Amino acid sequence: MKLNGSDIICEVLLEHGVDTVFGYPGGAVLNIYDALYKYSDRITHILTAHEQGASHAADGYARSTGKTGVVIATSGPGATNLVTGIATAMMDSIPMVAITGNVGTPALGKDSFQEVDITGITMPITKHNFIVRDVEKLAPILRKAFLIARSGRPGPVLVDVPKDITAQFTEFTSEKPKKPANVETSNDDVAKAVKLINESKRPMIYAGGGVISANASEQLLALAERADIPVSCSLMGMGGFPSDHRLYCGLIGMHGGYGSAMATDNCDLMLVVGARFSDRVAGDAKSFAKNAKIIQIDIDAAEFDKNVLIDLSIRGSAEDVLAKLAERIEKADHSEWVDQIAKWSNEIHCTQEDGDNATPEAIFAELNKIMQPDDIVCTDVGQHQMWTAQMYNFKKPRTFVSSGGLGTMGYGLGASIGSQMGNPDKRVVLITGDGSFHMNLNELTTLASYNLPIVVLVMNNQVLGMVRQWQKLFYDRRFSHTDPCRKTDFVKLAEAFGVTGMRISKAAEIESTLKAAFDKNGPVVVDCRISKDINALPMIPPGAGADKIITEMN
Amino acid sequence: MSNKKVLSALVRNHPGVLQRVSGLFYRRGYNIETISACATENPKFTRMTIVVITNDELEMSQIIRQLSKIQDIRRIAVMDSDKAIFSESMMVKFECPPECRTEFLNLTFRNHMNVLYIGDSTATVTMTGSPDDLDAVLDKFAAYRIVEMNRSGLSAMEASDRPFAEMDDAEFIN
Repeated sequence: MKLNGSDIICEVLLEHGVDTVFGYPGGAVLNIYDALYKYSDRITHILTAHEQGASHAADGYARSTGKTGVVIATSGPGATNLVTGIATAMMDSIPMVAITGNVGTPALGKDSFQEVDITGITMPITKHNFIVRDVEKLAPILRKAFLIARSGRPGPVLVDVPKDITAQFTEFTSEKPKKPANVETSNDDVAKAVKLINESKRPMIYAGGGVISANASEQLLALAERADIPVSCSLMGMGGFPSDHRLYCGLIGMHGGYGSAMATDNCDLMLVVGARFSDRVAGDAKSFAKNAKIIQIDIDAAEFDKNVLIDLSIRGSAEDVLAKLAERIEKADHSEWVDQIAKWSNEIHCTQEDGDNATPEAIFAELNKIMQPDDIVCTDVGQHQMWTAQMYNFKKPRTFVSSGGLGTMGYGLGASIGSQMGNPDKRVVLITGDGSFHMNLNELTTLASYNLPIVVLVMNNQVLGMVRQWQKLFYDRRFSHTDPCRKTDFVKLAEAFGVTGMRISKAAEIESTLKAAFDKNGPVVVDCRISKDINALPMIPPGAGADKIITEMN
Repeated sequence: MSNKKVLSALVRNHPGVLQRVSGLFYRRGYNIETISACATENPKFTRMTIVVITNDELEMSQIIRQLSKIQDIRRIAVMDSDKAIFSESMMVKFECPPECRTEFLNLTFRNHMNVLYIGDSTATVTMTGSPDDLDAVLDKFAAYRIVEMNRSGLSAMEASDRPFAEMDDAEFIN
């Protein structure tokens, strides 16, 4: 059948099972939006306040569902507004397809109105990108974009479609989407790993985002239990291993627990699964796990020996490799070693009291009681993000939606919209800070428009807390531009957007306010007033090891 | 060429491909001495030869692994000097006043160079060979001042009967 480019875009979306897209209309995508009008019974389009919010929503949708997120924006500023969202997805290996409009092909390269070279701009932050110059190639390019986004290590792909292409007609035949090719794992490597694991006396697992993206948490649990191996998760690995399990030693890295840090220093074998030794985990790459043989499982060969030199690499999907390992390794008992790590974990306490005022710890204690294992927690970036990773009890994968690699402040609200759209039956909570929230709080209007029952907890300490914490530690308390003296009243602000506003100041208010917020079953912002001097602790300074761990500061 | 490695890549012949490759070198801080991209027997493909400055085997393997992730690259490999052949061409404009012309032309003849242009006070020649050959010849012309010079950058092929890669473009779109 003959279809125009815009209908073809919708058809290819449907081929790939896409029923939800996020975006913002504009001149260059008028035809695409006209098609979305026609396809509105099959494709739900969520209109955000800003393209950046749409890009984070597509990302949050992908992280929380495992499907590919789709975002649509117009040319020029619409396209450049996606850049932060695309870079966020790239750093965390999130499958996303971004479709941008552009000026018509005859107007390309002439500095036309709202023209920008978005393929040039996004080259370093996409897995691949395309500009479509011929309507015949539109469908094959879009199909390829979906395939690339999900193949191997996932990531964002951008397809730039000039306006005339969206209007031109061509023959279209529906096709079944191609499955990404499997990466074959070498049985030799698996055998070597089995031997190393069997011989190890003090093994540990460092699990990253690859466990989540490969849907490998069951296999991880099976392997860890069979060989009795303690597990630490990177920020991206949160939820990949149940946090109430006896083998769980907590977050690893800069704000990880003492147990994780000491286990890293003292293990004789480290099995790294879908993680990349980022500088926030391996602060000092040379001394990281210095007493251990390191086995790294990754689907991306470029991660081997990139930051930390390893002893054995196993290329493949985490799910596949972990299953093979679990099948072949011997049952083991490392209870002495596991107990030792638990002892280390209990050696330090970072409880930060604040009289009868609300504290993050008290808020998380209450939240942990209310939330169900499948419920989703989104965050922004900063102290509140670290508190979430440290204090929230994650039990399942795809329940933690947070910008790890890029550390994108302003990510959370958009991501929560995507998470809620992808999981209408689950509770979605956004933990944010007043700094991050200020960046993209315009999306409150989207929560109100679609009546999304998201509860936003603003950890409002009135300062840019994480940067201020660094200024305390490393800049002799010169608080340069981290105390912005903002007068924003988040309760009134929420109400102005048509969202319920609530406030918590005293610890005694936490339980009743959270209950009231959750009972609303609609969008709620809770302004949680906390002290500006509660820090994200413990903390291992950049470039240092476990011995330099900071457990208290003013 | 101890601190240099030659990489050869068969890539999709497409406007953005050079930018994708050079951009990767730029943002990851790898050093390129020369990069050349040129036509092949198949118009859908381009062959790139990249001379990388590095002493570090690990960095070299990182470079190859990172480049391998570029969708437009069909195959990439290191060209070891004992298993590959190299060629480069150069165009040099020497200062050559009329009184030196005979002697200059004799020198070009003995060194198998082509004379492309003789001006009032200059002569422009071209030559192809290995980079070392070209350097050696330039030494012989030390008496003549170089007005300007273009070198093409290195081109490489495996010393083998087999082609570098199948030119199968089925997976390439756009």
